[in-house]
Amino acid sequence: MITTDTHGQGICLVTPNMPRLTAATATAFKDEVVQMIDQGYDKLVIDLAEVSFVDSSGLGALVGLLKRVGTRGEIILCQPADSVMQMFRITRMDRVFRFLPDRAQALDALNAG
Amino acid sequence: MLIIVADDDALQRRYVSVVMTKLGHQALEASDGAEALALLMQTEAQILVCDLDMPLMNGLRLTQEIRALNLDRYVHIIMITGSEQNEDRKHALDAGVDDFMTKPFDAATLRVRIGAAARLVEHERQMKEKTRILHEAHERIRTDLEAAATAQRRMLPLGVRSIGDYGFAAAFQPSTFVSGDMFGHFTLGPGRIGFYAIDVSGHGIKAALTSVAFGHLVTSEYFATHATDEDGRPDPARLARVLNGRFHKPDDETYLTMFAGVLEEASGDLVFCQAGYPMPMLARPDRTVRLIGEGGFPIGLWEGAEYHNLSLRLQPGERIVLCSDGATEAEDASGTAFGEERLSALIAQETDRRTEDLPARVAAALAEWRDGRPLEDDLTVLALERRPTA
Repeated sequence: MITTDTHGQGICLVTPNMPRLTAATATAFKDEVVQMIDQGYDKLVIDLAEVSFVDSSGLGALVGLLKRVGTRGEIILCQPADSVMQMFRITRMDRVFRFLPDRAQALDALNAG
Repeated sequence: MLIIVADDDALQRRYVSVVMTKLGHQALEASDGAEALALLMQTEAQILVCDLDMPLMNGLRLTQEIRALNLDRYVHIIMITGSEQNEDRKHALDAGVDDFMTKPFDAATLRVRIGAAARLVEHERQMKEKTRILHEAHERIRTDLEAAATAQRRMLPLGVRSIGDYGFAAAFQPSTFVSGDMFGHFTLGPGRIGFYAIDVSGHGIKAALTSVAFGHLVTSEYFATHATDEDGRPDPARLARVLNGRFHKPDDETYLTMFAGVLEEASGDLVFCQAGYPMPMLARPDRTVRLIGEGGFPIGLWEGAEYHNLSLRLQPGERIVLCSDGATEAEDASGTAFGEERLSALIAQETDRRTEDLPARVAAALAEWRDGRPLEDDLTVLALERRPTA
């Protein structure tokens, strides 16, 4: 359900292989990412380019991951669709997550941090 | 097991019967096809041993008649033929015969063939029993869910309600029996109205448990106590803060979005807090529709989240329409979401119609958009109107 690309220093690039992050897929998505976090990858870039729709359960899963990495780790989201970004704005989660335009910039930011 | 033995040859019939009885089965004898058919309909027999050649109704016709009956059980037919009747066997297979025995046959052959048929009958019985148990369990769950759905609907102020110069109307459609949506409106004290709508993340039973818990918690007294500040001024953001503390659980991602408002009846002054709920639409008599609110943290998602109040003045003839995200996210056959623009246009079109009918008409338009496809998420439409001055 996700493709992972691990880098050094606990950094992992996560690509959800699903067009919709919803009640039907959110739990499996979260469980797979949690496995990576448990293996020590707590600096994550989640590339949302392929995800056209996120519902309330999907948002819950992403926030759950953010809580999971805690203050030790970090999650950077990139390339959210307009409608997905709209959901982050309405729920103010745009202030909780860090966004960067693409995965390269996101990885640079994590490497620098 | 009950077995019908059909043969016009009394000696052979008797022989087969005796072997059956020795094997522990109960044999019923028929001397022709018609008699066998009658026995089959009178009993629950599931195995028939029949000769191909019989007067009146031969084995082939008998098989055709049995298959045409469409009984609620399967009848295994073992046909006895002569060794030269290969062509007849093809017809018999077409007609629905399951197995053959060639004359002459011994008790051992008979035992093996009946044993095979009995295994299939037993297997079918077990499958039927499993289906029955599943069906019963399904019925029990469905009845339970229907009772839960009724209980939930009873909590909601459905229908049309007037408080002074203000009118409320709502439509409520769970996606699966029960809903993660909930709403309420009440008189908070002289000249003051409180209302809210919530949408719990996800849908189905888990979301409904939270929405119902919320509905029981947030009574008019609770709302009146927590949605005002120390000086008694409207402060729905305070209510959101209190609820956020109450619903936040570190190990659970269930959260809810809420819109809560306190309305002063005389002036139409509305103070509201939008806690992640979709932006309501303010519709004016001049057919303009605008979104209100700026977004805000949902309830129970982020510990210590800050909430803010906004305010507006509702003029006579103006309406506020709240829709859960089940409205904008409703998809047509091609997967296109209904979206905010269409919803806004729809509400603008409704300007000259009665507010009382608006929620049902929005729900109907969304149903048309989905074109028979089931709701993916719970739907609530809550309309509030300040009646026009006469």
